[in-house]
Amino acid sequence: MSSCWPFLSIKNRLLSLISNLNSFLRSLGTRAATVELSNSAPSNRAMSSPKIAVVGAGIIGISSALRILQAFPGAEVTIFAESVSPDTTSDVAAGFWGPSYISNTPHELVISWGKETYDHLVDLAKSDPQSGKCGVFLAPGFELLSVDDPGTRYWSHIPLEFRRATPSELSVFPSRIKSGIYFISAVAEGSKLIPHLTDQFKALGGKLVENHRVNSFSELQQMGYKHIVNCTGLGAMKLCGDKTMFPIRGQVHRVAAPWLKFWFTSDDGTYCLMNTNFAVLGGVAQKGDWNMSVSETDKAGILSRNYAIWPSLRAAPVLADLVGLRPGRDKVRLERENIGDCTVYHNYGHGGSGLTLFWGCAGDIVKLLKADLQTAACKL
Amino acid sequence: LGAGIVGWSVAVQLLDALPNCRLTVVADQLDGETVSWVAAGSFRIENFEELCPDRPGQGRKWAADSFQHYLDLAVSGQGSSAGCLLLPLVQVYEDSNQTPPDYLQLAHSVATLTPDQLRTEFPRWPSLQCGWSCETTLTESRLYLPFLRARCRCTNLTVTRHRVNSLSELLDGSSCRLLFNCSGLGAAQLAKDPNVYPIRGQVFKVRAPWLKRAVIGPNGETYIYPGATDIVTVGGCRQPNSWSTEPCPDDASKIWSRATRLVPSVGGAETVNQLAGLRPARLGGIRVELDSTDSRIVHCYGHGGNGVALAWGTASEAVKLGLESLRRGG
Repeated sequence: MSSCWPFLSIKNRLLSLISNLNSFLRSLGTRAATVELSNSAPSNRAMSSPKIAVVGAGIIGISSALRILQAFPGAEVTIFAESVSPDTTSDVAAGFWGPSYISNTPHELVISWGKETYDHLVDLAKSDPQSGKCGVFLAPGFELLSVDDPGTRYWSHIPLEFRRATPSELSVFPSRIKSGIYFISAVAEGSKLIPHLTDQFKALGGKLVENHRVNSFSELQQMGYKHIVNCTGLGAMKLCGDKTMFPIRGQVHRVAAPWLKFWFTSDDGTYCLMNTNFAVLGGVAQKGDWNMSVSETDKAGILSRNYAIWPSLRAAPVLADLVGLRPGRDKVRLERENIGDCTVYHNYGHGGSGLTLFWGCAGDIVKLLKADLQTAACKL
Repeated sequence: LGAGIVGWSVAVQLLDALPNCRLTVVADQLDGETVSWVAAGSFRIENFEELCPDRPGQGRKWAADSFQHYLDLAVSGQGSSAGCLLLPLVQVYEDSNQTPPDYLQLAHSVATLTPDQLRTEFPRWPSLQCGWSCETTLTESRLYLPFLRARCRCTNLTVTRHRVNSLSELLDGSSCRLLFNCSGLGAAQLAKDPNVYPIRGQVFKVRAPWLKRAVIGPNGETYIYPGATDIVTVGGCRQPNSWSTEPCPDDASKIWSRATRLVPSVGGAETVNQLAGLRPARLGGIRVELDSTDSRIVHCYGHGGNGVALAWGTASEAVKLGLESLRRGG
């Protein structure tokens, strides 16, 4: 029998496809989903390829979509997004791992999502040669406090090398700094990582529909989607009428300071966070403020607070001024909801912690989907 | 004599003390031609006493003076233009009985890495037994030497490119009152010093702006140093008595393989160039002293791989010796 492709049996073709997918996924350096053969006939499996819509293409939407496709390689996953990188909130954020502005999200969830995200980023940074170019890297730095803080945090077991700052390392900062915390943060730079994850998503067969604002879930239902993942951030106010959401306005200034190799934050909201090609200076956190224009007053405050902590920043040219609205909510909403004939999986309201929690949240979305799809053939 | 980091460190401190003197810097290699430019420039001295075995405590003093100088610069507003920065650094070892290297006595933020941390942070090098992290300084000569030169605000400063064959060339028939011999490897011939020898090193300069922390592998053989800009120095090797200043492809592939094993994301970096440099080493340590036959001559050479780290402190002592000699009417 000829070994030419068209003459192989259906089963062998599927086996071959799955094996190719597996090697490809492994070669991407991510925690690949491996697909096991079940005892069910291949034709049954082929028929159960679900059609899933993801709304939103910020870090939450993209990572959810990717993890879904990694878990269900036969699925048809389409992202509908009004904005894509570099125009999402995730692109403005510095992308630092560190829980912030998540109100009353239960600590166990922050720890679970945060740890899964942090560990994933460390894994990439420490073993994938392409990680740096994709905006993933580890960065040491300090949380500087103007009071004598014991340095305990509920998430302190997650980042590498977490400890109290020593007097010698505090001595290079202004005397008003009384204590501090040191740890290795993981950076997930949205404007680099989102395109990279999008490429991975598309390589697995995912589709991205840009400039498409979804106004209601029934719209998608009419297009045939029974499973919708809602990653719309602040957009959820309109899409699901969620009145508990509110913007937490942030403003940042990107400066060229390549000599600065560590980050710092201060308890007055000031921060200087390293990205690949610039440092991100911030910040403000103005609840309920929808203003997307750069405020000169905020800028003057942010720059001067940063200069006071690290004077050599004065020599850093300002490259860009940006505003982002953190999607604030009393707690992160991650749950399934039956709406009409479809199931909506909500994944929004991450406040200032989108890039701290994204991978873990996407993992939980996959678990919810799995339970519903009851696909015995797939395993994470 | 000499326009590497040692020569310029002497020049600046001499002019601070004698602003009206007529100073000539003579060298056969300037700026990018010097080994100072090849070096990453970190302050990472393993053993203080070995720097000057004949004078206990002297090595530590040079180190402490230099570190304070670089630290003050790094923390100040001038750090960026001087190419001087505070550098997070991790050094790891395969020997579980390793004692902490001396520079940790001066560095900030010193912490011991646990075996768990070593495993998580270096998954491709499982034989690591211990390590320390700290914050030390890094001084990039490419920016720092011009910075020093600009600090020499002296109208009587001349820089001359000239290959000198003997010290007497510069002294005979001249009104030269002081000659600082900062000729590095050149001192083998110029000071007739048989103890001077090269230790060849080779590096890649790569563009990897996502690397924010230096990593030093076992025996200090493999190192990755982020610099003052987006360029990272990846090395290296130590080849005593090799005089080649051309990068060798065989060395390059070995260095690259070790470096990417230690820090895999280096693999994604674009190589800007490869360089080889000759560390000006000396058996018996760094020589900072007045010449025994001609009290106009102050020697300051033999820094090996610690030229950037110790330039300031050794230059400081050399200038002190020179001024004393002048005062004595030498």
